[in-house]
Order: sequence, then C-alpha cells, then structure tokens
Amino acid sequence: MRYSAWFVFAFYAIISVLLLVTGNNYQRSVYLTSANIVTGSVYKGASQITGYFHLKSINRDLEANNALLQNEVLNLKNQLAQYRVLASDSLLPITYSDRFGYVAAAVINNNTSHPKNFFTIDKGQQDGIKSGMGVVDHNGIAGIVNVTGPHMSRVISLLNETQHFSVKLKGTEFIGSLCWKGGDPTIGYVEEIPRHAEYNIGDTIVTSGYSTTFPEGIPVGKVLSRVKSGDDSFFTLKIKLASDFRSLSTVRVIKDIYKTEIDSLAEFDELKLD
Amino acid sequence: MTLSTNWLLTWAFLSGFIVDLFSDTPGVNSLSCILLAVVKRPVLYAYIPKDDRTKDIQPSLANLGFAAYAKYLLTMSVIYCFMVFIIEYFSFGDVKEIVIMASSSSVLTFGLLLGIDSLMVTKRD
Repeated sequence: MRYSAWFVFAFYAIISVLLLVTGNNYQRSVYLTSANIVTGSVYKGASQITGYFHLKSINRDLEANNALLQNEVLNLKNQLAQYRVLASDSLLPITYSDRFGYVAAAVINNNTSHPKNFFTIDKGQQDGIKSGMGVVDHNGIAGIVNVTGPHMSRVISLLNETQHFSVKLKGTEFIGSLCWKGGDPTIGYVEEIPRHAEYNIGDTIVTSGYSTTFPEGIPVGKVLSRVKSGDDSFFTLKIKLASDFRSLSTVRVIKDIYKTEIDSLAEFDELKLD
Repeated sequence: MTLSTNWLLTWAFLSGFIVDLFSDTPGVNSLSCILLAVVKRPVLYAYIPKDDRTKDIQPSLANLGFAAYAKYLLTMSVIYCFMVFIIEYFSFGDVKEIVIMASSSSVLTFGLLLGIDSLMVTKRD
C-alpha cells in the first residue's frame, strides 16, 4: 500500500514537471492554457460581470484620447489640403492606415502578479487572429498574441520578463529594447539606448516600427529616470508604462497585411545564410 | 470522509492542475499540491498527541481544536506558498522578492482558510 502511494506520487510529479518544462514551449501547450474552450468560456462569463467595474476610468481615458484624435484629424486635414495643392499627382505609397487593420477584442482574463504574465482575449483563429500579432489598448501597447484557439487567444503581456519589444525615443531614431522586470505593473525599463542619445524626463517612448508586430509610433510610456546599466556604451531608462494593466478591458489586435510577406523574406534570408 | 493516500494524491494533482489551467502556470500548482499531499500526514502528526495519530483523523477546527489546527494550517500554508513561488521564479536570483511574496501570500491563505473553516464549524453546531 505504501509502495503504491510512492508510485502514484512519482507519476503525478513527473506529469507536473513535464507540464512545467513543456509549458515553456508555448505552441505545444495550446490546449492546456486559458485559450482553451472550457477555461475561455468560464473567463468570458466572469469578465462580463467584472468588466463593468473599470468602465468609469476607461471612459475618461477614451474621452481624452478622442479629443486628442479629433485635434489630430483636424491638423491632418489641413496638411492634406496643403499637399493637395502642391502635388496633383497621386502616386502616393501605401499608407499606414491601409497597411494595418485592427480587430477589437475584450480581455477576459488578466494577471499582473506573476513574473510571466499572460492575458486572454475573446477573439481567436476564426476572427483572423494569428500568433505573433501585436495587441494595443487605448493608451498604448499591451502585448503579443501567443497561442490561438478557435474563439480565444492567449496574449503574452508586456508584463512578462521573457518578452522584449523594440522601442525608440519619440522624434528620434534612438532604438532601445523594452522589458519588464517584475514587481510594479506600472514600471518598465528601456535597455540598450546608445549613450549619446539625448532625452528629457517625461519624454515619450514609442514603438520603433522595426517589426511587423507594431506599427511605428504607438505610445509605450514616459521616461521617469535613468538607471545604472552594466554596459558603458549603453544606458537604461526607467519608464512609466502608458497602459494600465490592472484595468485592461478592451484591446485591439493589429493585423499587418504585409506580415507574411516580410516574414517569408526574413526566412528566405536565414535559409541563404545557413 | 477519509481518503486513501493514492486518492489524496490524485485529488491534489487535479485541483492543482485546474488552478494551473486557469492561471496559465502549467505545472506550478500541480507540483506544489502533490508535494503538499505528501507532507500532509507528517505535519499533522507533529502537532497532535501520540494517542490521536490514527489514520482516520482529519484536520479540521472541530477535530483538532484551535491551537493545533492553526499550527497545522499555518505550516501547510507556508510550505505551499513557498513552493509555488520558488517553482514559479525557478531561480534564487531574487530571494528577497520570493520571501516577501511567499510570506504575505501565506498569511493571506492562512487567514482565508481559517475564516472558511470557522464558518463551517458554526454551521454544523
């Protein structure tokens, strides 16, 4: 009797350790995540109730954002009118608004307390969501799609120590790497900024546009201070993240119509180099 | 209701696994739960008199009394929370953070479980 108990223990321990190890190989664990139909629908029900709690602050943010966008539309209309006068020829390259499409989704499960955080959204393969797509909320970037089910997807949150994002100081070409180091969900770090880069406290950090995941210029956060870095030729900035991950509720998934094209070019390159 | 050791381990694994499914932490809670099931009896026996150490005794406020049960519960909460955080961080690089998070979680877990248990006692009376 005692011996069989040890066998049972060993059996479950091996399963757990396997889960622990293969869990890192995310694509293989599709059905053991919150993108699964059963867990997904439970979360969907729960979030329909809890979703109301953050409405007030989200509405305030949206109003502010709306005002900003209206201003921008007016400015752009003016600029466009000026350009129309200048260039009657309409051989313009494809614009960002044509290249990127958005799919709105609701966050049905979200975590900020782990070292590796994920959240789950209620859109999946049937809505055209694919692994690797960028996810933004109304304030800034939120994460990257990781595992997709037919109706749900799991997203690697920006608050995940393993995930890095290519960002830059707004208005410059100084590129850095954004990461989160655990703890406070409102604080992030931008590493590998060249030492000669100039910045001020409060400057905006935006996405660099060097990947197919995010278009250029999506807000990421604001510079708080400079922190010591191991490498002398680079420095690290501590930033306040634009998105509030504790009240994430509605997000947009970014589709890039050129994604497959650009990715296959990158693969082609790798093949040639090998 | 008493469970054989094998069933105890099975329930422990399943409950941990379900928590893992919902929190995207594959293996973390299932491993912690089965290890907790293994130390259940030794911990329990450490806090009760020798005469009571039969297979049938189940840890609860009603069976053990407050002092022994509180000690049992606190020990189990501390073991579980430290296991979860150690497995989740998977390194001792940030011991301070692990200790802070695990201890505060232990206190919270202990308080919640004691609260639930005291509710069940008053219902039975």
